[in-house]
Amino acid sequence: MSARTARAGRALRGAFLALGMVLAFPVSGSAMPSGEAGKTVRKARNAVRELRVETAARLLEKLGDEHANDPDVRYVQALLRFHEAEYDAALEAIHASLDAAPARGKDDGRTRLQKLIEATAETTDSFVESRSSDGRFVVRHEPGRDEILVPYALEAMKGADEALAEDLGTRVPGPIILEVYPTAESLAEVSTLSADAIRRTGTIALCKWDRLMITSPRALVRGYPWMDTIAHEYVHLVLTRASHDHAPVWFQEGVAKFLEHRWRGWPPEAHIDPAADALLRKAAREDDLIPFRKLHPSIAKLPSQRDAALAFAQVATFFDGYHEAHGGAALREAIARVAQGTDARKALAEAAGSSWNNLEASWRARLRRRPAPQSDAPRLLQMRFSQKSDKTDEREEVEAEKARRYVRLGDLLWDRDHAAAAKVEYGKAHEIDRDDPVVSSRLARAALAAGDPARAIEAIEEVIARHPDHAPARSLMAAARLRRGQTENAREAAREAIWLNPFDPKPHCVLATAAADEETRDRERNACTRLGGSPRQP
Amino acid sequence: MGVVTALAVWLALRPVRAVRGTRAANLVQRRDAHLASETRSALELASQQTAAPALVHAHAVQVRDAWRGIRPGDVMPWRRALHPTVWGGLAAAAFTAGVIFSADTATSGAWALLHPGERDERGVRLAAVVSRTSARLSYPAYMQRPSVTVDETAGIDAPRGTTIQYTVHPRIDASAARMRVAGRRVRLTPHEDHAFQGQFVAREGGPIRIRLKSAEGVWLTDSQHRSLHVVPDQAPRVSLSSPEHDRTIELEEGVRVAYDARDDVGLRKVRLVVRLPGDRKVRRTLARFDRGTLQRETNGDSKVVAGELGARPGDRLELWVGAEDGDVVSGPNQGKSEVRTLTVASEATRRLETLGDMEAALDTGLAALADRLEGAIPKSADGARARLDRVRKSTLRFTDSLRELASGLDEGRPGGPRDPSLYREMAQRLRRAATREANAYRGHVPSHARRVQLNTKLVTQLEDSTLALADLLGRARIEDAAELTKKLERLRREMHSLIQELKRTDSPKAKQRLEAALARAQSRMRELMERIGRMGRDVPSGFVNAEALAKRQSSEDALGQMQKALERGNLDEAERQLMDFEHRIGAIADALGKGQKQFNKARFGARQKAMAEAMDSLAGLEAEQRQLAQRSAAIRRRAAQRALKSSEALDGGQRDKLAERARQARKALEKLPRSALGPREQEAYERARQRLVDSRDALRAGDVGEARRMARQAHEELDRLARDLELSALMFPGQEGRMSKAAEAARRATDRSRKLRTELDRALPDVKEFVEPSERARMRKDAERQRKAAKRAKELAEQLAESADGKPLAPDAAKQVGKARKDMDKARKSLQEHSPLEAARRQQEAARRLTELREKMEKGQRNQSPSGGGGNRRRSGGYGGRTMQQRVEIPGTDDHQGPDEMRRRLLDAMREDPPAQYRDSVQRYYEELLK
Repeated sequence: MSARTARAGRALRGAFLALGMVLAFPVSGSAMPSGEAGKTVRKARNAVRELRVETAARLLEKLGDEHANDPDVRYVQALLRFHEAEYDAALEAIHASLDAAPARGKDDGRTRLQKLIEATAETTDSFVESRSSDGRFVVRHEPGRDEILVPYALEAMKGADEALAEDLGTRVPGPIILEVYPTAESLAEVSTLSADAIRRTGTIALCKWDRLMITSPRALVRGYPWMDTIAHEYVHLVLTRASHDHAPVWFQEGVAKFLEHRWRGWPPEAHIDPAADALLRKAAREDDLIPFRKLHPSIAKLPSQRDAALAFAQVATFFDGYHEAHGGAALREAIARVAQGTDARKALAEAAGSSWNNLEASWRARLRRRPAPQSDAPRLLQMRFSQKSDKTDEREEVEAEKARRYVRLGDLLWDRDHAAAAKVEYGKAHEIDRDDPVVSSRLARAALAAGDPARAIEAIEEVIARHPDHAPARSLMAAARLRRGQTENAREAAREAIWLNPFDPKPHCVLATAAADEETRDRERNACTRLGGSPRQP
Repeated sequence: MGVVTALAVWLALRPVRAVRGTRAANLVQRRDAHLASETRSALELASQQTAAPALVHAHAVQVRDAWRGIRPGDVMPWRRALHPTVWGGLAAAAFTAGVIFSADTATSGAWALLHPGERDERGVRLAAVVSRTSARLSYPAYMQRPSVTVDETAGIDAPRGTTIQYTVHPRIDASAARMRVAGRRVRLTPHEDHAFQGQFVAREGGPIRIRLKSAEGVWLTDSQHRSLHVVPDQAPRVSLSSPEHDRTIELEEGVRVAYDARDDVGLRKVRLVVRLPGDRKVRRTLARFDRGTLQRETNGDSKVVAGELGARPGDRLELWVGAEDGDVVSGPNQGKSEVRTLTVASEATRRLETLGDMEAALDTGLAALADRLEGAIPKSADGARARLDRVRKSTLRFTDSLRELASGLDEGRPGGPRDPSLYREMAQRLRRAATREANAYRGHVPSHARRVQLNTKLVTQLEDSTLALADLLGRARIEDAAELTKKLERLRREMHSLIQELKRTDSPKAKQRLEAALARAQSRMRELMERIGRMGRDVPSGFVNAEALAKRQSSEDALGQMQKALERGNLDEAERQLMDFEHRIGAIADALGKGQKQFNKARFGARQKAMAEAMDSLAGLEAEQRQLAQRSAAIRRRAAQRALKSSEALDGGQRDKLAERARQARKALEKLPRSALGPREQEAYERARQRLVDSRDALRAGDVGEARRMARQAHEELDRLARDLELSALMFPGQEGRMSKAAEAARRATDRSRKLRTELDRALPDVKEFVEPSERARMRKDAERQRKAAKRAKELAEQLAESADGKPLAPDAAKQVGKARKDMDKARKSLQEHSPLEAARRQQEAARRLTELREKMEKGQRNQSPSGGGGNRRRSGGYGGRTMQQRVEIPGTDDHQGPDEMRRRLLDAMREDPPAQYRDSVQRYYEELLK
């Protein structure tokens, strides 16, 4: 589990608790419809809370006409519409509820809900909608550049949908809505998180209110694994529905991390980034793993980022091991038990026919059996949100001062079209710090421009292994591979690059040449040109 | 008819189809069937593009070569065209055409045959009824052109306003005629020779339709299409030959404006127009012509001085020359030259120039670095030499650029660092390294390893220098933008005050000034936006608050809103917008200030730290040196007072005796025959004589010191004079040995002056001898302190000279400290020799150098920190106020008109109790006299 997700989980806790308050307590304080009608409203409210949205819709359909002016009915209707991403209707319903029974103050849950709906409606007002051919998947985004994301986003959603139906035994009824927010600020507007918290914790995506919400990769300087993130959030969506939202956070994050690459067609496996992996190994070696009981009820309660990162790595590897030992059926059964209200640890143990202590012990043993890594742990790269200025300087991220000096020289030369000379200066920086992705990427860029793709590949190969989410390195790798005539590898690298930063024209330009079919080539050619690239010179 | 013609053309071109495309090969079929086949293949391959291009090309070349041997006549079927029937047909066609065009009726009939029943737009039948027409054109008077008659066929071109007398000669027997020109009816009346005539003025162009009434009373429209084309009078064309392009000018510079104006008819007026900020236009008539003397072309020049037009530094003036012609028909046409923008030089433009030069120098430096980095050093000697030539040139180009930057700073150009020695030091280092490298290649080319070593050294220096220059450029850019922001703030205050004035007085003048100020502010705002935009490349975004800088756009908007408010006369709204502008400008200024601070910390942090340390060392050293000087001065003062007492002990008899010596020396000099002296010698004679008189007077006044100094000077003058005369006497003895006699007399006077000097020296004791033992012991201790101070000075000089972040800290300062150290060494020696005069003088000199240096460096730092960063440093070592920091200059002999009087006054002051601030100076002066 990545540190990103760990931070996200912690930051989101407050927001979710707030929403829980909204959903859990009596709606308005006014009297509910009496008798059966009142029971139905409660059932509908609980159904919404457990993401049984369709059930809630059925229940409310009956009540709508008879209690059209009841504030509680209208409130639950507003909740439902909000979950259905029908913001105008939700707004109308919450206004009707408040008209029927004025709010008791600012602590009235309806007021908070009203603000949330209003903010969401306003933020998404200009959004345009794209649907998959079967209408099952819907992508909403700002008109303009984010349009480029649509085919890829649909690909990730579709892939995740198919894989998760098989893995978790649950298929979410459509349409499944993904909203792409252009900036961290706009995500803050609709999520009750502050923009500062989003930037500080690196929270970039949410799955809540029965929809997926991500920040556009263009809000970050180097993008981020946005396709995996969509799939990750998709796992949360399916799991929330399958468990009736009874799965604890560690369970949620563990399963989501374990299955987030399934959309690619990869087998279920925990992909831990090298930095977190190093933490896990060290903790296992020194018997410093965090006991699972401490992870309950929330990883976000852990005292430090390090502990959180370690916890995520732990839960992801736990599910990896659990799946390997007991199979997907056990996992599905455990989820079903959780949905029925069984404690997650107990459910897992029962489904495996074992005890929780045994499960934990076998996982620890498995961790200790893992082979030692071949090199030191790489440093953790911070997510960088785009600034409003025209240029964002990555150079300051280079840690070694001497290396930074050579990078600066290289940049000065590069800016003046002395690519070969820049290559030499970047090379000096690379000698000082071979692990720095910024240095390696710039060296590769200059080497490519100087007609030396072999040097470019050499510079970034190791960096990609250690920093798999560094988009510029992926993009350059694609271009270098293509330049070397390695079309297959170029195609693969370009796709990986787009999955990180689809707004970089280079990988699109590579695919405009290297894609296997004409349709993809056409699409990528258009994207390449649209983003200001040249298909002839990727 | 068209169909028939097309059919004929199709039939005529039919044979051509036989040789179209690949069938062209058929042309050669009869002559060479094989070549025809090859040609066909080549054409097919070329059109299909399926085969390899190289193969197709090779085949085409081969076929082309084969065709070269064939004459066109051998393959073209010309013979068919020579058949008798063809000739017969052509002859018949020619005869028929002759008949048709020779007789009007035949022509008319032929036309009617070819166009049966054709009618015009009004339903009148068309016929070839007009044989010819003519037009007499009388041009408008202002054109001053003679009338002309033209036989037109299809159209008339006439300038607008031309009177046209139009004559129609019918082909038929016509009883009446009508004409329409551009839809307007023109009356035609019978004229001589069966013709008809009418008159109209050319105002609008259009078709000319002529109708004739036949003898049978049938109206017929002439089938010939005619038209009138009215040529409008062209606007004058004006061009500027000076200024040739937009440029920056000085406020009081006379800018030559040279123009050339032309018109198709005649120019009436030429004017120079200058647009100033606030859309104020200044117009000046350059040429004017009366109606009767219009000129088709004219040229001339004028001069524009921006300052005289009320422009201010930084203003942009737009300038052009406009011309007006004398068209009285449609009204005068106006032409305008290209517009030149003149920017009045200001600190901002000068800074921009400096920035441009710095950027160019950086480009040159990076090009030099790139030259050395790109490509390995060749193994071969020739290759290595060739490379050296190339890289050396580019390296030296960079050093030249650095020197030019330093020269610019010497000339006081603003922008960039304040210390030109930085650039000079960089240039010197690079040049030295480049010279070392070049020297190594003299004779034998050095080994490859040595070549690499030399190159690496230069690469490192180029890296250091370019990085340093890039840092300086980045800082200069932020400072430049900050200065512009300050300028905007000043303009804002001016506008605020003008708005208040306008509210009070509602005077047009205040409004005009406000508009001008607003225009200036808008212009400066645009400049600021441009400068901030340019900052991006040299100043990473991390150093400037992008959000605050983004407000520059909204600041410009606020000014635009203010302008609109002023146009509406809404002063309250204008004031509100001005306040908004103030907030935004404030935000930009803050962002730039912070950016500047951060940038300096990041890029110059090490340097600033080193400089701060050096400044601390300097201040400490200065304090120590000043203290040492004070201690020596105290000893000197006491010893001098003792010596003075001793000299005052000289009794009147002794002084009289010495005065007599002086008088004797003067008498001896006066015996010299002055007629033997040239002008230069005469002057020397006078000077020596006067010094002897001075010496005697000083002795009589009891001033032994002054007497001694005068005696010394007299002796030096006399000795020189004697030597010159002796030399002249050797070569030119003169009449009756006059020159020799003069030389002898001068020598005698010299001997007497020497005696006077010696006796005076004996009479005045050496100050050194009046230093007491306890003071000597103190001086020995001070000598050790002085040694340590000199050592610290040496270290400080090294510290200032050595490279911090690749660039020397303050090379000029290092030199200055070096000079102070030399004084310290000499002072130490004098202390060891118990010579308080020399010791104190050297120590004071060292302290003065250090004080001056510190003040200069502090000033430089203050200048480099406009935002105040670093300005809070400790100033001095605690020597009291500014008055005591200032050096009190003792006037030299050449400094004043009356040096003697000045000295006298000082001497008087010495005897009295001088003001405290000058006590030391007076003492020093006295001691100077004592020496």
